[in-house]
Amino acid sequence: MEISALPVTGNGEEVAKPELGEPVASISRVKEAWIADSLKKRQQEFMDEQRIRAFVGTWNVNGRAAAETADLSEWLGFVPATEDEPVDITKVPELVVVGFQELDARAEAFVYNDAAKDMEWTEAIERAMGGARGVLEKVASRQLIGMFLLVYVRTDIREWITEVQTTAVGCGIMGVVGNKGAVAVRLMAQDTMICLVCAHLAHDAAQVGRRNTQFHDLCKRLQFGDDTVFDHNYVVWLGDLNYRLVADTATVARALISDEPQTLLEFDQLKLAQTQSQAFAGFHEGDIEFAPTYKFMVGTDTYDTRRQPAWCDRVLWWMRAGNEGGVRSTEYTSIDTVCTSDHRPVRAMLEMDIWRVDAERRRTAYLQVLRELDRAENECIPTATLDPTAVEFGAVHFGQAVRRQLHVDNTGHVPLEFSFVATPTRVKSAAPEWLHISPAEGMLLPGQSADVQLTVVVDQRTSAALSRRAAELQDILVLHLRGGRDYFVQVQGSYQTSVFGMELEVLVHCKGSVREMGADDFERCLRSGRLSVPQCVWRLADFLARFGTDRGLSLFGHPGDTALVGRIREWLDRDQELDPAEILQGSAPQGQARGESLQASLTEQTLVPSAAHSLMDGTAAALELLSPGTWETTPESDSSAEGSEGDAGAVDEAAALERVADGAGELAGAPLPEAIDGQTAAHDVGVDSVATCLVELLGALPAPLIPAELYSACIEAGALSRAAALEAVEELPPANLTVLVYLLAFLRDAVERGAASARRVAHVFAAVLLRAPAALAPADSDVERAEQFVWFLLRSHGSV
Amino acid sequence: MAEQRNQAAGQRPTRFTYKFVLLGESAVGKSSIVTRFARNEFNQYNESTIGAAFVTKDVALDEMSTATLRIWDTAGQERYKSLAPMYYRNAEGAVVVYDITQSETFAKAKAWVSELRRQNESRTVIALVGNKVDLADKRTVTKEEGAAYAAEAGALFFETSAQNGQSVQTLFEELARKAPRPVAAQQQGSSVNVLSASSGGRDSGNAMGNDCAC
Repeated sequence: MEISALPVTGNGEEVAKPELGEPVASISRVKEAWIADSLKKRQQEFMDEQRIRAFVGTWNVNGRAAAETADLSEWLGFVPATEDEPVDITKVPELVVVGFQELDARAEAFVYNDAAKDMEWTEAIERAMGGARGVLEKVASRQLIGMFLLVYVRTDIREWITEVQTTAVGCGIMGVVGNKGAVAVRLMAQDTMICLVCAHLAHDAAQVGRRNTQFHDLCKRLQFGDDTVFDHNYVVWLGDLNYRLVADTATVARALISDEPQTLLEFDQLKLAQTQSQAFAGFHEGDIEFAPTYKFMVGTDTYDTRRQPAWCDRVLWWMRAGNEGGVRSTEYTSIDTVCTSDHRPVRAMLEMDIWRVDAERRRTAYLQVLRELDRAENECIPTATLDPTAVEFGAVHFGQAVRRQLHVDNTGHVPLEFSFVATPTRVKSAAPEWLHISPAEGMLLPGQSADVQLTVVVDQRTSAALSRRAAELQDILVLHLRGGRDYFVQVQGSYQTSVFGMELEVLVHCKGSVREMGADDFERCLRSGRLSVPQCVWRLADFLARFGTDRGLSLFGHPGDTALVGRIREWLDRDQELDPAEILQGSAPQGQARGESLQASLTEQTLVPSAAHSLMDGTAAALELLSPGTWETTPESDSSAEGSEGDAGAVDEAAALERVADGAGELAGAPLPEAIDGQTAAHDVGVDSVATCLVELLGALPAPLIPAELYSACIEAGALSRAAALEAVEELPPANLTVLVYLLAFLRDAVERGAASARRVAHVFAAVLLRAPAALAPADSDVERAEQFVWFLLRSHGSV
Repeated sequence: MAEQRNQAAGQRPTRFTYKFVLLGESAVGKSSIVTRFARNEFNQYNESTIGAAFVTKDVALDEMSTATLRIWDTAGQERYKSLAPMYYRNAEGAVVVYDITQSETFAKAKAWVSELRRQNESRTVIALVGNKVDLADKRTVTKEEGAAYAAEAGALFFETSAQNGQSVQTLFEELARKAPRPVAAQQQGSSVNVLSASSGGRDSGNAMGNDCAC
């Protein structure tokens, strides 16, 4: 068995955690104490007070036999004069407490109790009760050698008395023998706990210190279960306490002769001990107006001059804090007519307030106290006001941030710490991916407020499910106040479904306006026939092929116009033709003319298949996909897709591509891309806007056209050769490959026609085609290699 | 006095801390029940709870023990349903409320009870509560129906009125009495250990199960 290392407090209670900081358990105890205290302050609400009278008598009988004693009814004081006289029960005290000392003064009596003695004295007392005997019931008695305590209760209130217990402690010879000590009875009168102690302390005038010590010893050792003497509402302490007078003999004699015994009280050791807090501190006593009760010549009224007279026999009481004034003395006297002992019997009549707790009313008060506590505690719980309680973002377009403010106001009485927290459906983060919260946590003093900015951005990381309406742009944020409540903030926006941000797999199936499509439409659409190249990609490429060939080398070099880009995107989303007139600002005819020639060349040279040839030597799968037949599902591509494979064209094209690449962006004879007039400028802006759309569309693909798992291989190929690049591309999924081949064919043609520089195209398209996977930290050289990779692909067959 | 008697019996007052949660359809009176219980007040027209309100309330279990209830009053609307596990997870007591005048709320209450059982929150003591008994003339769910289902589901059953306070106090007290006592308390009967056993978490107000011990 291991010995527990836990510290143990004085009362054996284990201290759970010897840590610094807030001791939770003690706070709880403090709270319990507060509740008890608050309840006590309201006790008049639920306690019914009653008054009882108690006869308290004490007599040291000096070992005399009860039989020798005269009638004790005089001592009791409440007994009718004759037995015949009817008993007036109201004159009989409710409680009768009789204490004896020295029932048996023989030496052997120190060792064992003589039951015969207390029987004898019980009978004597009960005989003395006379007619009142019938209305008094003995509820307790306790003997220890010569000490004997008897307790009677008036029968009509007998049921008020419960929890009667007795105890005895010897503190005489060796500090334990019962020649000195105390016997005690405790009882509960209604809901009032009363302890009755009958003591016999050390004799001899010089032993005052010993008496004081014995008092403290008894206070400690007299116990009822865990309760000590002072765990009661009242303590009545009677007996031969043996305190003497510290006056000289002459002074005492003078006072007694002049019948002014009270003048001796200042010499009373007990009073002095109380004043000096040596013993019986806090105890009360009735006014002593009777002569010292010790030591008389037996059978006479004469003091025994061998001892200094003293008030040895006393009745004192103590009242618990909160019960002050509950016990009062109405009579305190000695009985001169009983003179069979060297002590005179003493009688105190006490009036006691006792109370009954009304359980129902106490419960009501208790609940009110708890409620008061709860109210205070709940006021310490932080609260806030949120405005608005639901956040509506309205229409949200791909890639465009929408911001809203959430106003958080600390309306409570305590500092507030707020934070947005995770939820069961979103276990790792406080907000959905498409929402940014700033700040996501904060602290506010009472009265302070903060604006939390909520920003919705749908980008390619989050657009996939939203784009096919498999998810909604809505969620519930949970704003938690530390130590307090949670607020639910509904956030909602209406995502404007777009081809931007849509997965390639969905794009190749979409043949109509995606904006109007619902979740069901997408499901149906995904089961329908697929296009080789998404319609939107084709539209943009086609437009650029038709109108963008005279951009000098500036195609993909300018961003175009934001508003126009927006309009073009909208047309794509709604499956509307790109209107050259609007895009080119009236310069369309000219562009159209120029474009037509390009389109013709595109069409006639059958750019795509030839490009496929040049790119995909020996890639049977790619060739198959790119055979003319696969273009049939592209409605607008009928004219452009028709054509023959022209090896000659391919060679020409390759040569042109070579020239472009080798010429470092310079195409001989090409005009400088300067704005010649307003119309030309508008034309260029239109073309650039469409070009921007194409780049953005590819960049918005949730998964890049070159899948993330091929990223590293492609980057490596970029550092090697064209052959390596082609080899890397072979790994692409067929659908991606088809689009890539189409795109490259278009781009190569644009380069060949002098519309764009190969380096720029490689630069712009490397960024959207090759995106580093999130888990991969791209090296500095990656950008360069990616561009080189695209550049390799742009080069024609045989140019390695 | 009672305190006196306690000492006589040689016992020490014990304090427990419990996490309770209110569940049920919107507008059945969950917040009103909590308000009646915590503040003894009633408002006829309450705003619907958007979030999870939190109050703390002390109840006397018996002469010897007090329980501090940390009560989460949750939003009843369907759209917040997925958030409920934050509040019922690790709760010692669940008060599942329905409106005796609206039978569909009773069906919803049954669904909550099933969910609690399904989530294996077996230590959660459930009280099924038919509220608004003050509107007895509009009653559509009989007391027998409620009691029968509660018996079947192993739940306590009460019919309450947050409006007039009927059985509200009793409901929480009974539930607290039936709630599982911390093991340490049973062994030691010491308030020190009870508290240390039930205060493992950091933020007593947080509803998330993994960092809450209320």
